[in-house]
Amino acid sequence: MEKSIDSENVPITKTKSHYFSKTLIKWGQILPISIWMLLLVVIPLMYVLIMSFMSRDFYGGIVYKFTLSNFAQVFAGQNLKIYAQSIGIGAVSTVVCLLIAYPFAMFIAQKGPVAKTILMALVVVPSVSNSLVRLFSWITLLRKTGVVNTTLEHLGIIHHPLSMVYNTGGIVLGMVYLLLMFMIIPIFNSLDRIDHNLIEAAEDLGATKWQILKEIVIPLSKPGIFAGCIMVFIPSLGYFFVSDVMGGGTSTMMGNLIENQFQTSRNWPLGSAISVMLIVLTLVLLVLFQRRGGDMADLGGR
Amino acid sequence: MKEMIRLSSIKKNYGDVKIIKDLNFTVYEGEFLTMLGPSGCGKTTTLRMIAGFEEPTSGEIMLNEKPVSNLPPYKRKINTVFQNYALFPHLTVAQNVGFGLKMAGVPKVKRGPQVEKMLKLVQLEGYGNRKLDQLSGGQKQRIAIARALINHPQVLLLDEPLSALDLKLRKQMQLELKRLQRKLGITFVYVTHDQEEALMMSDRIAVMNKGHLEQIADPRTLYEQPKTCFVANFIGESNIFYGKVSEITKTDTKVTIENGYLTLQSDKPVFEKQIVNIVIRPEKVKFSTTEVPGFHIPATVAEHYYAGNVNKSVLRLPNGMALKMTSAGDQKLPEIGKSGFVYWELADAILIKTTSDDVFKAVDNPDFSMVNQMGGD
Ligand SMILES: Nc1ncnc2c1ncn2[C@@H]1O[C@H](COP(=O)(O)OP(=O)(O)OP(=O)(O)O)[C@@H](O)[C@H]1O
Ligand SMILES: [Mg+2]
Repeated sequence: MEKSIDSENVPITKTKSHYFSKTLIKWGQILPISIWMLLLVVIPLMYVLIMSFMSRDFYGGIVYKFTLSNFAQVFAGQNLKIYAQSIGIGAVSTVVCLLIAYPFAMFIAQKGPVAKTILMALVVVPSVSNSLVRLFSWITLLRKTGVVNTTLEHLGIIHHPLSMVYNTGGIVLGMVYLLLMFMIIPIFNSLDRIDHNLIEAAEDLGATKWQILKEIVIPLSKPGIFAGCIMVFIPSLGYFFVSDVMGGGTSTMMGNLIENQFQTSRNWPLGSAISVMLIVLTLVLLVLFQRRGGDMADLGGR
Repeated sequence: MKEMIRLSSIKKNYGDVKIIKDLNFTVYEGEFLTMLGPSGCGKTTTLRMIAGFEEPTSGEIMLNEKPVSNLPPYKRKINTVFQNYALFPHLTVAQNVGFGLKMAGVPKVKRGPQVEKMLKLVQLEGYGNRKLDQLSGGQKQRIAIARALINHPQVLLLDEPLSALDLKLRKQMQLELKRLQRKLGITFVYVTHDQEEALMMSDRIAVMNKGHLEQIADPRTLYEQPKTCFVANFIGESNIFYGKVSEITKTDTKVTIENGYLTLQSDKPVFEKQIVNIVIRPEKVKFSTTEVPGFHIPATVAEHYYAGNVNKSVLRLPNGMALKMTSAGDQKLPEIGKSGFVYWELADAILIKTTSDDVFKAVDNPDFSMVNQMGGD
């Protein structure tokens, strides 16, 4: 009798200590990252959040007094127009990215393992260089006295230089150029994950190439499409330097508005309030994404 | 019998590797034909060529006596049940089953009743609105079968359809598949590497090995008259001796083996000095303490295993070969360590004339245990 009690007890204590050491290891792994996150993400975000409820004195100094007036200003008439414009440019950029990225990702996903790795590396490589530099090189190419216009004029194809930058189209071009890879990566991942047997099964059941695309491939890559759209749309709202460089100041985007509050207008509380709204919008989109069955790992780009 | 599929001189290379080497066989209408063979012998490849997913490097596949080499999969009246089901994860059960109809442009209202009929056939009525993750493995397998049958194929190809199921479910599905095939009268080409499954379900079995056909026959013929050592080993358990025909008289054909000799039925078509293999099934092996005329195969009783209805014994020959013997469960067994002699009824021995390469190997390497190891698995 005693023996059986003993033998029952031993494993329990064993599992307990085992559990304890496992927990310890887990926290040991998480702790450094947690501190890092706390310092670099959580504290600044809290600061922005608190700031968005603060008041401002006449000279732009911050007065630590609670107010909701910043949020009222967020939705002031002239700002709404800017949001609409940003969302419009963001949406157009997202659609353009999607239209370019999808066939491209599909092309890569059909390659062999080696070619896949090389091609995907090529997609990512440009992002290691400074994005401002890359944007300016577009300007050199496309401005009125740029390479493309002068060449076309020399060839006699055009007589007046085309306006390809310093307008809304220029901003979209810049956005698409910088953000395209964030659309390609998740779409490629979701396409790459599709079991080839499914394609063959569809073919076996009489589906044409087009039907396979419509009925199998696109539905199964939806998580990648959603992830890509989120990863392009959200940054496009915030990339103020794109409209600075490519738009030539013709249109103000949400990012510019925030930038202005922190620099020229020196209205940090309002800048924070707009930022908070942008963060809330992001969270809403992420929640929607997950509700639609999206996998958060897709957004990490793996 | 009407010919349904014929493979003539089919060869398939992947790069320089010859995967299928000159495959020839015919499948008849309404037949349940199984391709049986070890992993990697080319069963899936052959099935994929019949389905149209792969093209033979050379040779011709005929369907209804017409060559199909240029027909894409969907133009062949053949459908496939894939090994891992390959069900569309984003669709419901009904959408999966009705997929073939939808692709053929059948309007939605007409698809419903047909889908329901198919679901009834596989005993899953009322499951139409379920999502796939609400189904068990066996149910998924049935959906895959229903989906493949909805376009009324003439031939259904099944690539190890039951391998993902647990033993009990597998047995049940074996019976159900057989019932379905009888009921529909469709030609089934079935792939498995489970010999028991093959024996139980098939009208005929094509035994494949390393990309060629070893033998094609009905289950009983395969078991009782294997043509090669490979078949003898692969279908059921075997003891294989090799030796040389040493003496042919009017009444006797004597074969000398290492450490002894045995006698063949006199009507066997052999000539003197011919190298032959003799297969004897474990249940036909007999043991005696005194020598039996015509045989001289000394052996020692090494092990007994009790297996319910039968006893399995291992007899050790002087050269180390382990001879398998099974006897009825109620029979008295000789003691372990006892020495005696092995014999059998002359009619029970199966003669295999040594043409297949595995026998030449055995002759090059006069080690009886090697031959016996082939029967080990
Ligand atoms: N696409 C391919 N490229 C190169 N080699 C291949 C390809 N497909 C199959 N093979 C090779 O062909 C051989 C036969 O493969 P196959 O899948 O037909 O075997 P199998 O009999 O179905 O085996 P299993 O029982 O394991 O499914 C294997 O050696 C395999 O490695
Ligand atoms: Mg296979």
